[in-house]
Amino acid sequence: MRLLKFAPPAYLTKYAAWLTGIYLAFGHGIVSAEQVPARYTPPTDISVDGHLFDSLFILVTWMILGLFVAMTAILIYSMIAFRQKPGKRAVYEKGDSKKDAVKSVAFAIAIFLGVDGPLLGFSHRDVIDNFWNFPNTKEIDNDKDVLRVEVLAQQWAWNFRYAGKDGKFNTADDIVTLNDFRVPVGRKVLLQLTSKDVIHSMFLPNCRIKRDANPGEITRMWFQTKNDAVGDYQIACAQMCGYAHYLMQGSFKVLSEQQWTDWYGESARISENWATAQNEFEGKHAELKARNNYSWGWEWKSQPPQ
Amino acid sequence: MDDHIHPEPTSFISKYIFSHDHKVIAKQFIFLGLFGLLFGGVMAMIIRWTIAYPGEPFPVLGKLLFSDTNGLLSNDRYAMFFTMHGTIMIFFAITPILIGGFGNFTIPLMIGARDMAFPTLNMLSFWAYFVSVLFLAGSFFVPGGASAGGWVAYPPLASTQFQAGWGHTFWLFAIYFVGASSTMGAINYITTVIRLRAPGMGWFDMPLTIWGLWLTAVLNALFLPVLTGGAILMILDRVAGTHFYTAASLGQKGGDPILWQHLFWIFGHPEVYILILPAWGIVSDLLSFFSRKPAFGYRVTACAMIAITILSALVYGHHMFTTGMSPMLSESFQILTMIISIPAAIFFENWLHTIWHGQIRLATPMLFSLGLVFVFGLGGLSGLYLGSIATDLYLHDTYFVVGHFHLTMAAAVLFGSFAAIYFWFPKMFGRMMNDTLGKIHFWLSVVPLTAVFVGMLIVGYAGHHRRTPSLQAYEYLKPLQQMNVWITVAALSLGAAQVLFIINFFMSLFAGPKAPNNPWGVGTLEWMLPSPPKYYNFEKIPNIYYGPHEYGNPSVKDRDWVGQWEDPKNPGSGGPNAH
Ligand SMILES: [Cu+2]
Ligand SMILES: [Cu+2]
Repeated sequence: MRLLKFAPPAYLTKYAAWLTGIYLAFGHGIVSAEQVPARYTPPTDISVDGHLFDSLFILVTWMILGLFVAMTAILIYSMIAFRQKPGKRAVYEKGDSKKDAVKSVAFAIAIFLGVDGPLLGFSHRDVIDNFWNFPNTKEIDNDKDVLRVEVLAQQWAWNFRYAGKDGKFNTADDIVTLNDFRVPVGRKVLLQLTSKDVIHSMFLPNCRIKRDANPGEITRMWFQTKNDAVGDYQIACAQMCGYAHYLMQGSFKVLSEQQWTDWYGESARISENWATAQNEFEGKHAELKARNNYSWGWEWKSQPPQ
Repeated sequence: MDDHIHPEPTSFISKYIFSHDHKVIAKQFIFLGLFGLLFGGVMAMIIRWTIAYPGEPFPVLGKLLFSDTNGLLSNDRYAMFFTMHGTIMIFFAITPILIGGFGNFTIPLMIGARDMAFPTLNMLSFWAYFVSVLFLAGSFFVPGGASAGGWVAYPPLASTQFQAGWGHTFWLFAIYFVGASSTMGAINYITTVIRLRAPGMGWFDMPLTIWGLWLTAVLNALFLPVLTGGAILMILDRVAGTHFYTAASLGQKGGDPILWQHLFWIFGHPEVYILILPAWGIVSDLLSFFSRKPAFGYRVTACAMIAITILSALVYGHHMFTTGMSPMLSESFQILTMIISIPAAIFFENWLHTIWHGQIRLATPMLFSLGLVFVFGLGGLSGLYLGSIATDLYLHDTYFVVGHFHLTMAAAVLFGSFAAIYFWFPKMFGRMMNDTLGKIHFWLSVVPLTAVFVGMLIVGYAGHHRRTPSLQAYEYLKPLQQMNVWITVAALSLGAAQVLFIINFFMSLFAGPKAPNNPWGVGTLEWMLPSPPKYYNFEKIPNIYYGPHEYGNPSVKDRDWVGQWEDPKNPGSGGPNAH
């Protein structure tokens, strides 16, 4: 790993390109990587469940590393030790007895129980107790314990909707942001997602989770940040969603309780003013009411499909 | 069946173009497949170059191909490139080489048949395939360019609303004809193996190559029609305005975009085994042939192959853990996926047991077989992370997935193909390939290949999601740029090493030393025939007395192999049918 911490020297990349037989020393250099310290592990873990992924990944790696090293050792040893010697014959061993069959199946089952077993067990536990253990939506009627956010993905941006003062979605006082996702530190956050156009996938690498946003249906995702997670992070779109897919990033800010109160309070106030103005306007022009276009949102689904 | 010998065709067209001869059709498939491999490979180089060296045109080709964008691969073309790279490598490189090519070549020869059960259907299968190639090649030249939504072609991105133009429709037609071709081939393979085995050859006397190809044919016959059917629905959506895959929320009458994912992956997971089973079979045989030792636990290996074939139909949901599929269903798919470890572990056990205490000849085909065991080991083990939901939620749609499936489907299958080419080349063309060049080709391939795909596992683990021509939009991806440069350097080296293969292939084709009937000292039926075999293969259909892996049999004194056709009363003498 240490070796890899340096960008390959320019002559090496040039040499490799020359090797392809198509780099005819055209004289232009190869742009070397911007000098950012390299990283080989996932970005900072900021969610209370993120360590479950990290530790399970490491556990599996250690388990299969044993198998892999053993396999490679046998391969290399055999290549050297069992090279053909003139006049010698291999052992005439077919391994076709019942005993051999039982042995190899038993060994395979042992590997299954020893490696896949723990993996299945932990994965089951983490999914049921944590990653997919959604806060009970029926009991949520305010955002004090669980912050609810509606997410609308589109080519190539993220829209976020908070309920606003009235605690109801798809009303005039909703707080709506574009590519700007803010959550209070330490609070559970429950998202309902859908897409306006193609399939996207909301990926929060710092929380070790992602969920597809499908047009025509609502999916959900939840996480809770650790108490020391205040900071700026990013949302990625993980699902191919068109030629600008790789640009579909959004800002993801974890705010301290104070920052949150300030931001949310101010936003809610602006939204409310706007809603009041809107209501007044609609009172005078009833014929325009149906035309409002602030409503990409939906009434919060208290019983989502899954 | 003995009396079904037609006279050999004499005209060039009936002999080499519209041929009924399985050996000629095999070569047609292999040449097309190698061409596809070259094409898909160059695309991969350009893709890697774009990620590593933003703003730098790809040497020479860049300026030629993309003159309108200063030699750079633009974002929309980047999407076309990775879409077509995947499509070409899967359907137009690996499928034709291993299944169309070596399936056609080895099945009749190794089971002692004069040709396929349905030679005309066989010819049709190739020409349906050729039509498919025309559609795919044509799709690059239609207005709007080729399909660009990824090889999985998820709607709505694959609908006319988001990909107008004929590119993706052509892609669907190409898939349709590949499906038709593969289904025809599969019916043929299945029937041939069931009906035309030489007298005395039971199911468990078949070489494992044939087991692999036969099970592949079964999967092809069962699951390619699902993809073909799904593609027809999508063609209807695009051409006739139906709504199978449109979402209701688009303000139209609704179907379900997720339906395509189900249809695609019902086919897509078995497809992995469609591609790898022939390679497993070939390698299981070659490890025994070149260790001069019987294949350890032959029956158990064959049964493990059958088990994997069945299981492969039951696990496809592991591609959809993040779609919002019900947790109960997800967990069921998770468990079924993990069970595949059992037959897979049996393979590795038996492979390693086969070479243990062997007398190993490290000829080129053997090196590639050992290489397959190595890269498939890496690929298979990395699959564990993706089969388990808790780890997949993070790793899904990252380069970890790309690394994983390239190690299994690309690296392992590629090595299986190379092993097969180096091994059967003498029988196919009557000349030997250069072993030294072959060995250099192997070592210069296995090292960068491992580096490329293990590198992808690492950047995927570090959070690099797929299908990104540039990492610069993300702060957390910038630290991965260096690793990506390394991957590209390794990929270019891997590409460069293939020049050795091309040189070796064509030099040997025209100027290689003449091949004897049985250069490797192997006992399967094709090696009793002259190299290359005559039209209609066997003058007299041989009787089968031995299994395919009789090496080091102590009852034979003067050599360490026994032909399957040899008379047990006098084994080792060459037998009545020896030429
Ligand atoms: Cu997206
Ligand atoms: Cu799969």
